[in-house]
Amino acid sequence: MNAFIAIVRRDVTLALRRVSDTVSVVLFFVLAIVLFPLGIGPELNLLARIAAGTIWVAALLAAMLSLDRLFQVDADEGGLDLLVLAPLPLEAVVLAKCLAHWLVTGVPLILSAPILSILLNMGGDGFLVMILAMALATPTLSLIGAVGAALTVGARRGGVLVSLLVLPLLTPVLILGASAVDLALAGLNATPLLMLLGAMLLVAVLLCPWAAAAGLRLATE
Amino acid sequence: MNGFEEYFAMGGDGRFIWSAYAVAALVLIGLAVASVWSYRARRSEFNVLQELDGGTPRSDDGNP
Amino acid sequence: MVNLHRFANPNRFMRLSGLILPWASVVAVLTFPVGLYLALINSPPDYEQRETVRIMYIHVPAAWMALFSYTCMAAASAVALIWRHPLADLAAKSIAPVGACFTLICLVTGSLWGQPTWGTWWVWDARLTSVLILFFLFVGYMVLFDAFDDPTKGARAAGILVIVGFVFVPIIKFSVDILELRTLHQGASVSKLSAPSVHESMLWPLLVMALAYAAYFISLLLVRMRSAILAARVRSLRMMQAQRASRAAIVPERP
Repeated sequence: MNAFIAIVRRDVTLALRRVSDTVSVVLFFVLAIVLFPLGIGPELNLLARIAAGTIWVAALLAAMLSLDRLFQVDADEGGLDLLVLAPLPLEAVVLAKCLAHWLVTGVPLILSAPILSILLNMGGDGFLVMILAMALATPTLSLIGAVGAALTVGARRGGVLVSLLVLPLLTPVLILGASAVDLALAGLNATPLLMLLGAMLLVAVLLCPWAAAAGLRLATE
Repeated sequence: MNGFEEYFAMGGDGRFIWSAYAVAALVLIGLAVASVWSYRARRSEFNVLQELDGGTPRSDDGNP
Repeated sequence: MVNLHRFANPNRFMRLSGLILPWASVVAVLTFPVGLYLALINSPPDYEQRETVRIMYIHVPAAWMALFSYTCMAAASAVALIWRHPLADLAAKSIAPVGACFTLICLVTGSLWGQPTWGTWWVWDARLTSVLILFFLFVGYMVLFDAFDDPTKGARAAGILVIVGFVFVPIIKFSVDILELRTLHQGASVSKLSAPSVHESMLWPLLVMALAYAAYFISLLLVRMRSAILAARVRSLRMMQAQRASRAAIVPERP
């Protein structure tokens, strides 16, 4: 457990030392949202209708940006070999790194989403559900993203490849999350969709550390 | 002749039906041809290399 | 050095596939014309869909085979990861392009069916959308496989991906169903026809076509696997010759 916390603390500290990475992810999120009214036109009713979906798509893309650094930094500096050889099972190491990744990218996304929803003229009824759904969805993004990041560590090209592998798997998160917010905006009960998001998080917690660890072992062979 | 044209028109939806069949045929045949070509290329490369190696060229099982 | 011996002796597969391949390809070559005859000539137009129902005979088996291909790929990858069976890796790699072609056919024919029946080329209908995502999963597999310099590593990375994807496929299908509920909720009304209820006169062309697709799948799988094995042998022969050449250069032969 101590080792687990140590890895989380180390990654968060490293991320805080390079705050510009986190800031640029959030800035990308904001910029992508700002581009929509510019591209579609500033009609308020239209913006209100597309607000939930737009915010979710932008959040997904912003989360993709930070993924290729998740293991690549360790791999380049040789720390990955140490993590593989560490007494802590590699699956737990992956879980710790995902937790750290969520703390430095997922949480800022959750916090900035409500502010952006005001920019898009989204109704206030969706606020609470938006935050809850994001809180359930962003850890799933980190976990599934970690699989993509781990599998491409040893590959010739990372970056775009990670998004290509991960985004199709993330479509359920997008559909469930955006639908939940839209249901809440329509005054309907969004709890079932939130529970489904939670179920998906559980599946991801069970499956993704194993897959990512297998990918990392492959990369260090 | 009229019956023939009528058949190809397929009640007005002929162009959709025939293009669907054409696309399917194109994709299936294209993939098959590409696979067989690369197989042939690999086999002849293998035979040449084995001849260089001093062994007699042989295509494993005598199959085309 | 691993590669030298790993593929050195799948002779049994080469012999066996050499026996099966002619039969499978003959079945494919024979059943396609029969299926086409049944589908295009010897079957009645549908009451609702009129003549466009004929597209179903190449569309539905393509969808079946696409799902079947993905399942086979996941199974082969699991075998490869657990038992490190080299042929299983080759099988998964060989299935991927064939499966991608099946999804492509499914998408294009579905769209060509949608235009005359729904009045639009594309509907974000649950089945079309999930097949589209399946297509991206196939493409992702192939791209990841090619992104590694060492093909054995590429095979294992892509295998892990395909197993994770396989677990998520039901979730994707389920969430896409929810997407469809949402369009109904918003009242985007595309008048849709339910899945064609299968009448006996439609069953035979469908089954023969499915058999033809399956035979095609097996033939192509075997050809591509044989091709991959030969490629591995070529690679090992090249390495052996290069080693011999370098050894000869270092130690000159004595009379």
